[in-house]
Amino acid sequence: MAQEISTHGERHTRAYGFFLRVIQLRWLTLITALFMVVGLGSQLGTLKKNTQADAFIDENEPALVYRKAVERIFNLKDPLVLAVANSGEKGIYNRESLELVRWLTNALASVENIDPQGITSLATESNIEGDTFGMEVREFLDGPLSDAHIAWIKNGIRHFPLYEGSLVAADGSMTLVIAELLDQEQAEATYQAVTTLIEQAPTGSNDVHVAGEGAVVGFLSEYIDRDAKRLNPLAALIITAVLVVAFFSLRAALIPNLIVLGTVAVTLGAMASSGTEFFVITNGLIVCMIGIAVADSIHIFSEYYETQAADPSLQRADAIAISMARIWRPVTLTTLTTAAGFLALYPTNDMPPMQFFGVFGAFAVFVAGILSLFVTPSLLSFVKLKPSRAFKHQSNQRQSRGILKVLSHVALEHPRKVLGGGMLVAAISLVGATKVIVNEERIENFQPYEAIYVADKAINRAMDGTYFLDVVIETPEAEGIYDPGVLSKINELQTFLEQQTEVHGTTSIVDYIKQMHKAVNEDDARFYSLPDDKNLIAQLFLLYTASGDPTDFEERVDSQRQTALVRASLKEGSYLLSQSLVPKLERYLQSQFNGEVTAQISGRINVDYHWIGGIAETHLNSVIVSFVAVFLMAALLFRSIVGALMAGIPVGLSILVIYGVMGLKGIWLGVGTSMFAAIAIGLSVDFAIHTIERLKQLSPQSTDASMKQQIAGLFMSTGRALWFNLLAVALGFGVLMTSKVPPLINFGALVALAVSIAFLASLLVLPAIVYIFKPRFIFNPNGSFWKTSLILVAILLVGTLAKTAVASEEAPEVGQIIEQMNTRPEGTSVQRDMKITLTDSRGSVREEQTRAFRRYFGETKKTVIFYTKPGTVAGTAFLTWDYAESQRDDDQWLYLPALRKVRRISASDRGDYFLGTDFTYEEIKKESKIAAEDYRFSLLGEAQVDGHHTWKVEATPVSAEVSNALGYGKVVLWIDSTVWIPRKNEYWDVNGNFLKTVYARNIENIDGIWAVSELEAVNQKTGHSTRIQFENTDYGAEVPARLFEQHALKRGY
Amino acid sequence: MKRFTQVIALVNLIGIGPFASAMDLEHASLVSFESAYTHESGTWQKQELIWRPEWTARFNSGARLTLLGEARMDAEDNLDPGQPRQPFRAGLTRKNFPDDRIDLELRELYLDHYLADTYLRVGKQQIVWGQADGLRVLDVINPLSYREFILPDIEHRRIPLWSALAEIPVEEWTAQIVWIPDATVTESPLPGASYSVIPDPFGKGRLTVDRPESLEQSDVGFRLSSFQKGWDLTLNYLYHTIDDPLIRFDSAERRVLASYNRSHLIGATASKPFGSMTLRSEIGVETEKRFFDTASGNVIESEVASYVLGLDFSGFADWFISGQLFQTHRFNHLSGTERSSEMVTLLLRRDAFNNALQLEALSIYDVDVKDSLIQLEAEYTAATNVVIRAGSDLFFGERSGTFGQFRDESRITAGFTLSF
Repeated sequence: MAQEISTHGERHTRAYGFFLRVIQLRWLTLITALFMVVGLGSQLGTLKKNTQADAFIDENEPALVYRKAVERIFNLKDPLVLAVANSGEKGIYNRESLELVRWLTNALASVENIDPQGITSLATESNIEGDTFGMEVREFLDGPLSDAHIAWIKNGIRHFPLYEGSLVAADGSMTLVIAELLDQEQAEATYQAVTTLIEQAPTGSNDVHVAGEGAVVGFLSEYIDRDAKRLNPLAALIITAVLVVAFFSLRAALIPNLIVLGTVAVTLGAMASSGTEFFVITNGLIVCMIGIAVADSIHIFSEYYETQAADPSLQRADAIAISMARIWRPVTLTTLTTAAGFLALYPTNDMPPMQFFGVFGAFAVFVAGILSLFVTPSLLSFVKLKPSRAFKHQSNQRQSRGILKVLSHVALEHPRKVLGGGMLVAAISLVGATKVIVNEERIENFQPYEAIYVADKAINRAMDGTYFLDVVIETPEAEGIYDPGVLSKINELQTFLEQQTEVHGTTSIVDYIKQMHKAVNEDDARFYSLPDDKNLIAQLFLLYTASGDPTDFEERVDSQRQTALVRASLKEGSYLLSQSLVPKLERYLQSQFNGEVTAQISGRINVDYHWIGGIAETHLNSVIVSFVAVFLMAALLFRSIVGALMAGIPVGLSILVIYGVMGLKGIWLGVGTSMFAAIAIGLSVDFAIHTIERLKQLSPQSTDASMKQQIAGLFMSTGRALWFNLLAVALGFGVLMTSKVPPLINFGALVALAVSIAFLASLLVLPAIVYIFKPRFIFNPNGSFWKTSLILVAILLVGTLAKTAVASEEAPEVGQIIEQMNTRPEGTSVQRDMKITLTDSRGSVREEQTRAFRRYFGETKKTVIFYTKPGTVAGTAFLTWDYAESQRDDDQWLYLPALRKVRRISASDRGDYFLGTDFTYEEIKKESKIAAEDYRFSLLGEAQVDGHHTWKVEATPVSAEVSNALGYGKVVLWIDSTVWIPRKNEYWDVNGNFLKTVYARNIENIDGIWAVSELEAVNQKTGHSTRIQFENTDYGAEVPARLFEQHALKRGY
Repeated sequence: MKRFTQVIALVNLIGIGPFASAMDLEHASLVSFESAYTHESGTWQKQELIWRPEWTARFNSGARLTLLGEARMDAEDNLDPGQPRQPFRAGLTRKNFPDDRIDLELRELYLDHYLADTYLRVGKQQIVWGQADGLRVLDVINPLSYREFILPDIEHRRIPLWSALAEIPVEEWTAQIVWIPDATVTESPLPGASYSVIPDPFGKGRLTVDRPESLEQSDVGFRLSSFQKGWDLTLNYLYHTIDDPLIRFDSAERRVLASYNRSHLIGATASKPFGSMTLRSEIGVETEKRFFDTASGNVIESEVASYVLGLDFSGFADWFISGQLFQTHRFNHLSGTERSSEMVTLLLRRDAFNNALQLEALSIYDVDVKDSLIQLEAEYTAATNVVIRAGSDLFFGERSGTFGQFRDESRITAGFTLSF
């Protein structure tokens, strides 16, 4: 009877009229939708796929940029590694194995995408030994493989430490053929081509393995992507089956699928048109789209059939409009809350694919909502009103009724226990969540039986390792590497590295030099050492070229002999390992390489260390912000904070459980898993909103008994819809558990778990809360929108203040650092000469000399610079008056001798480059300080620069306008904590591209004032650099006021 | 050398010295090679090698003596054919022509010194007023040489004069007083030179220049300048000989007569940046300017007002765009002639490769005659001391026009400068 009344009640609502109108204009709706779907869907062909592992890293991540530069210098690439293993007594030192190495080396050269020059094996490498002429360089597999020759090879390797462990296993059981790829993007195809090649190889008694970072990195994304593609359609099928079971009706199975298809087509089409690529995790987005679109449909259909069952006399349009009038609100609410949650992912994530996930997730939710609300009723209006058998004979659904009855019983009879249980689950999950480990190791994403996994483990067991950490040693001049002092430092670095448990071997140019030194001393092992004579070292290299190929060293030292690479081999490539190794190494390098010779870490291990570390930092923040966004949206929509808290319970619980399970089961928080929480938010909020909407229909005057009855009714209607929603999503994605890819298995299991928790929390915990606490929000009509908004603003304000208060204990730290820097004494006046050296990317050098004066007049800082050399620019002079008031533009004048006129110039372009240098006008003027009002600062931590302790501070322009004026989107400063001068600054342009680095090379105390005596700016984009050397700095000099007048520019100094 | 000692004597005489014995001497030189090829006639207009040395002596007293010289050897000798007699220049300001192809000039020689806060510059120098580029309203203290018409940098076109300048700060203002006893006037190349503008109806050499007397007919000027509320302002007054001649033909004597008159020039300038835009403006009124009416043979005297409005835009990185409007207005004019005449200029400059390369296009358009000059130049700093340049100077319009008259002298230029 209650149902009857409410059915008729809907007829008086505006929503009812609205949906009747929608049904009348169904053609318009459908054609519009079709246009949208076909229009955007037609762009699908242009959707670019990007399964690259590097796609997850911001391309401006300094570690990645540096690694790419190092790869260019030393011609390095992630290689495919083939291993020839022989378990026989002689290991690989037999004719058959060595012939196989030779065969593979030759055959690989003709495989597409393998660099024929980049193959390293026993067949390409040479032994260095002494002979009557001094040194002989002979290829290992040169000539017929007689027993004597094989014995010579074995002896050669044993006495050549560079190769033992890296080319041939120490026990002789394995040797490697390392093949570098030309294009990393085609790694997967090359891997397949090489496996086919191996099938044809004369392997005999040998085993051949293929692994290596090139193979792993290239293959992994494809591996996941392929399985996801296979399983996603299966999920769709299972969901359809669930729909059929739920409604026993074709329309209820087809229409939701059309909505899903439309949502997917429009969203991916929008991605394509906006130029966004399809990443591996975009598969996860499809999962979400299916889940959300299906959920909306299930609720609409449940309402539709329920309405019909309650009043079979209804007309077709009437029945649809009544159901829509009743369901549009929860559907809209879920759409808005889910979209808010997704959208919050965008600003809080560092990884571009996750940011796109957030934006397009929100977009998809909107599309699904709109299609469900408009297209579903329009389509339904074409088919005859036909009750669902599932609703006609509700007894048919014994299963769902049974489960729901149990749930209803538990929730209503033991509400306190339910709450207790919920809290217990939350507590356990919380404990589990604290155990979540941030880690990433690509090889662990493969099943242990996969050939690539087996190969990786086998090779890393026998050899020094296929994962590399590189250290680049740079000397200030060409042939600087030949310096015995530098070489001995490299040697010590290798010793240090080899002492680390993570490192299993190192190689560098030092190993070659020692070997050559030994060779020219009649192979006397005592001479396996570094000669103490630069000339002798140069001669050794010359001697080598007499019989060997000089490009043999190209991966160890550059052609100028100025930069060298030290490579450490590691048996595994996990983030955890890098986390322990990289900081140790950084400390060592800072203490040992703090002079003219510098050392920097590179290699994939280092890249992973930096950017996966970033995930750990931002991930929690991202999830919290996303959750808060859902909470705020729910509060606004329900116009109640209590309502928002209730909606937050199932969402929060499912997130907690996900982390709890990850922590307890040892599933790492890494690239792929970092999106699980986001998906959990997206899928679980639906359950909460629908339940709350239904609970709000409870009568306020209910007694406990009648309330129980009413809530039980909820289980039968909304509960049923939620049950099928759960079944569809959980079973649909549970299918992924049958995948052979471990990350997909985890993904399927956790998504199913998340929705199950959300379902249980919605149907158990929420009714229990209502029953026990009888929150006013449930029984009262909606509160005031403005009142809720005000409360929210107040909460946000308190939150922000609290954060500021908490932060204020830290804020002075970063604020103080900036203030310390900006209030650093710089004398009232100074006179100095500046020598400006401009070097372009080709190495052409121009030098300019200037004399500069600066003096404070009250708070106004006036600077004048006179060019003195070369003659072609001499006489040019530049005057700036910089006012203390931040909003007041500087006044600037320029004197050009060719005009003999002092010219007023506009000061608004602070970001313009100063007279051809790589410093902007702003930087020249600020003298290693920064305009605090232009930036927001955050302290990133501490770091050593050139052996000095610095505070690492990130500065972000306060607005887009300031950012454009300065020409920077971000600045990172390394501010010396003793002298308060930035020792290094890195700049990103307004588009977020890495732009330049400024180094303060020498900092001296002159007349009691700390001053930079050499500044260098290196522009990453143009390859141009500018060095400014300050000479004859005199803080005590008398600098007359008249020098800072416009007339003075033409008068000279 | 004789002139140098004369100047030192003069300087001592007026009591600015004595020089302290200790001094630092700095030297810088530019050696340029400049060539120009006129494609109309298919001939080389010039192939010059120019040495421009500069010595600066700094004395302990704070005084500074600067000498700028110029030695030129032109293999073509078309711009100043032979050894011209320089009728427009005062004796002490003349160049020296040891040979047809060589000329030597003491460009500038001046002493800078502060007496308390008063700044003095005495000697042969360029005194520049005004805010306009290339167009002259107030920048008339030094006459110009039209040896290469208006093509070279204005620095090289001004004829430095023996003069004295004092700048005295008075509160927020600076008063400048100038005295120019040197009576050199605008130097037009004599008939026969590439850019000669002097009519030659009676044959070569029939030119009489009635130049004013040095010292007796000195120019004197006064300028007040200040920086007020973001504006650079000046007020200017100059009593001077108008350096451009009134050309008349004396048919009886079969000669061309160039004569000059004196006038008061009153003017002002103002400039201020607005965002990326800088406004420059300049206005001046000559109390008496003379024109010769070829139709009636009469000389007409008139007050003439001129102004320049310029806008510089530097809102695009590495670009500098500047436009100017110049208008001159005769208060007394002949019927049938225009009261006013206008010119517009547009300058586009693009710096590239961290200012190693500079591309520049300058166009001057005479609105009345509808002719124009377009100058294109690329300048590349190849190394610290080497600048290479190439360009072209193109004249367009009727032969009767200011620019059109040199249509045949449109040229392609190339050269380099070494500094040491």
